[in-house]
Amino acid sequence: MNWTLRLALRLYPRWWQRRYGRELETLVGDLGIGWAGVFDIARGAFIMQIREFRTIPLLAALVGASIGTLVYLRSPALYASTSTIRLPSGSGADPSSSREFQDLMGRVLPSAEARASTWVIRAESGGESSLVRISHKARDPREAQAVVQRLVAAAVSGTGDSVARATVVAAPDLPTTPRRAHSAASVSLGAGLGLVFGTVLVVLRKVSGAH
Amino acid sequence: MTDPALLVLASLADGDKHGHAMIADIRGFAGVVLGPGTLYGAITRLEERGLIKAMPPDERRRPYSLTTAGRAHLEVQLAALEPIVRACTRRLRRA
Repeated sequence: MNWTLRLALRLYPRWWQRRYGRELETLVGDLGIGWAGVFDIARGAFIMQIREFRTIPLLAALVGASIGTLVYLRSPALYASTSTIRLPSGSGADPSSSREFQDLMGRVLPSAEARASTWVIRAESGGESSLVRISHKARDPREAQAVVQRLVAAAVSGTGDSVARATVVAAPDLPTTPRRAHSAASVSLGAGLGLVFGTVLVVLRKVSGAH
Repeated sequence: MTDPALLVLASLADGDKHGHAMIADIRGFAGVVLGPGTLYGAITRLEERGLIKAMPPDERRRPYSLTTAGRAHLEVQLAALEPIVRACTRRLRRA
């Protein structure tokens, strides 16, 4: 028996080799197989390895996909209102610091509304001012707009001690289309993560079983 | 009818056989040459499902035998194939 054949036979799971290995070796000896036979044995070993462990990654992928579906179904359709303001440098505080807006939101908004709000600060070229894009998501489009309006008004009037002299670049809009988590993306992400988790689990099991 | 498991069941329908004999028999009645990996993949699945059973080894060769469940399964499979074969034959004659 040549080394490729020996290698192909060793690709089978251990339990399989113990149960059928000798019979298969005898058959191979009787048949006197070539490369096609070696390939057939390697393919059989591969299928047997998948059969042995396929349920774990597939089950994990299924659980992940179910969680992804649940997340999608539970995520409400939200309206996002956005506004852009400009903050000049030297306005009493560093406008590029997101901490300033964290403080501003804490003063202007209840915590639940602040959690649903996001802001992105982008320093303009030359560092003379910063653009801040404020966004808030809510089930009601008018509520989303009202929250952003309150934030912008506070920034413009200097309600926040450190954020001052802001000018409005784009007024808070009234969103017309709700946004929801993408169904296919949620399910695929869940299934993908589950598959990776299941595969890692199988590898760990095999590694620990090898010692 | 090229499903290796079904071919193995069909081969064992007229008596116990070991791997080499099954390959030769299947080549004879179906014209299909099963590779050793394919044959033992089918044997593994069939034995797990209780459709065939291993007999005491004859030197290094182990014969396999059809179980009662295996015989019943083969009959069901053949019965399912029969109307398809009949219909196809009829259509081919008409064409």
